[in-house]
Amino acid sequence: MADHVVSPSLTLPRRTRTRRREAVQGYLCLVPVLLVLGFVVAWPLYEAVRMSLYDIYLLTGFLKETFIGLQNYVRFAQDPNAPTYLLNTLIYVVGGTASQFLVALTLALVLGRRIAFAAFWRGLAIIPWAMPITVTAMVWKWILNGQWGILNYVLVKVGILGEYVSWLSSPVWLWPSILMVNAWAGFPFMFINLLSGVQGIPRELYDAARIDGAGGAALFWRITLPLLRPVIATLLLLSVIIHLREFATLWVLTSGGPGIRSTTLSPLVYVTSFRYFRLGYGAAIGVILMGASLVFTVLYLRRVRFEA
Amino acid sequence: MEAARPRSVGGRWWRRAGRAGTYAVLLGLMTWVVFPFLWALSTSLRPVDTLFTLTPEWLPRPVTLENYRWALAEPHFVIPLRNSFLVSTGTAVVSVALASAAAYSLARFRYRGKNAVVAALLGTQMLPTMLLIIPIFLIYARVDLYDTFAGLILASTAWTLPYAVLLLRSFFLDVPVSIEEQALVDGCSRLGAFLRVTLPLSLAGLVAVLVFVFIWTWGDMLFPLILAKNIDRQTAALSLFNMMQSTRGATNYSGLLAAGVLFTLPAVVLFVLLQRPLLEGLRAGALKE
Repeated sequence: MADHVVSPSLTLPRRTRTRRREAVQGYLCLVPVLLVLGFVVAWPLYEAVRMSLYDIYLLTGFLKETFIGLQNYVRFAQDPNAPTYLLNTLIYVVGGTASQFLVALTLALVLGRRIAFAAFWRGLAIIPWAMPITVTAMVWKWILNGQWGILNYVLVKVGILGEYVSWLSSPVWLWPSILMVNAWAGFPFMFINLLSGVQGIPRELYDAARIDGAGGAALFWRITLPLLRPVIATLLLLSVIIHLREFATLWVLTSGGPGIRSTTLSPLVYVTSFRYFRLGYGAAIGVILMGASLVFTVLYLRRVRFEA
Repeated sequence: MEAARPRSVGGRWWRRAGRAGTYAVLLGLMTWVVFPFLWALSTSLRPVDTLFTLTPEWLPRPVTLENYRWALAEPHFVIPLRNSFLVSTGTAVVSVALASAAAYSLARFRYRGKNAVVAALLGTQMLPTMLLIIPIFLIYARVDLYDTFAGLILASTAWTLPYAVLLLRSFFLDVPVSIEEQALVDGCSRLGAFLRVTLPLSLAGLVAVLVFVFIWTWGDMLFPLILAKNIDRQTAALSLFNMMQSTRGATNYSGLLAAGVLFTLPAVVLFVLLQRPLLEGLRAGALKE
């Protein structure tokens, strides 16, 4: 503010001037990123929240928007299918997070030990991460095919199954199948982070505990798990956020079907907005989804320490 | 010590059983991880008329490359494949170029509001894509970015930027400030010091971020699904899904899987070649505890 009164460059001490120049340069470097994020994230975010208060039906034209307040939200609350959508979302978020975590933790514990070819196994285990989700779905749908799939063939031949199962359309097997493929596609990220956590635990701790007579289970519950807790908490929060918004995995596998049996909120927003062209209503459901994920985002941000 | 002896005898047996169990778990999980790759490969190598059988064989017999020939002659795969290269490369280059300036600023310059910027970037990463894409679609239609490569690259860039900035920042922070100060003393400008010292020293990180963004964009099907209409603009992640949904794809599943294998190849090859820096990235990216 004082800048207007006295000419700054002449009166301020040199140190302050360089400081200020540094700040200006620093801000300038951020400008391109902020511009892009402003155009593709911030503006659309504002628009989305605004649209959720309007009735916008794409087929009647882009510009016909009628303000209806919170009616879109009321409509969702009164939708007889809403409990199903919410339950599906709960199943997917909890089941998806838990299954990925269990696979990742098991593998991290196994490969954290002294094991032959550990680096090779580790490399192999992360490859699903590089497979495009479309191809993942393609392969798994072929394996899980009700008539010609290899899984049915093997399970019936070995005697585990009495008859062929339509994995992705049977009410009993639908979610287990989705969660299994979802775990396959998504566990590598958690695995890598848990593995580096496990490897970061000093060996001396285990040695000392063993001398004191601790067995394998005690080592796990008393040393490994407590020391991994911060990493685990962060990973679980991230995973919940990712599962809440996940669309592609569900869409390529089942497209939310059969019927609406595997429709979570994210595919629901897509169907409402781009199949039925109810953009305002779709945005309202999306805002509800964002509200849910905001809770976990805040928890996540509170865990992350900035060293700026 | 007297009391410890029986324990250790039992301990040895337990340890051996534990070891066998460990390997059994490893083998089981690894079979589950690897099998889909092998099965895709195996299926893509058999004639399509041997596919739909009640007694499938483990290995293709006879082996044929017919499906690969089919995939590489199929315009609905080849054109989108080219588009995937265009959009992924474009996104990787633009995203890393913009991100490195911002990351350097966040790593080295002193000014107020840095924490807010980092928190905003982290928060942006968490937003549900599906909500934002509704207005993005409308905005794109208004400014003629709908169904263009530029529009796809812009959206993917925005989506990968927070990640790229945070990851590059952590790589820049690993370069000692003293080296940079030395360059400044030797007469380099701030920009010169960045371009000639910091950037080359974090080359591994730079490559890792490039590849990350490339692979992410390569596999993403949501942006093309909503922001691209024409086959000339669709990427392969989307066109393969569309083919899978059509009757043509459903009947020629071995051809479809051949296309899938070809489409997966670049991502997996990049990944295997650059595993070390990528692993570093997977670790550092989201988790700075």
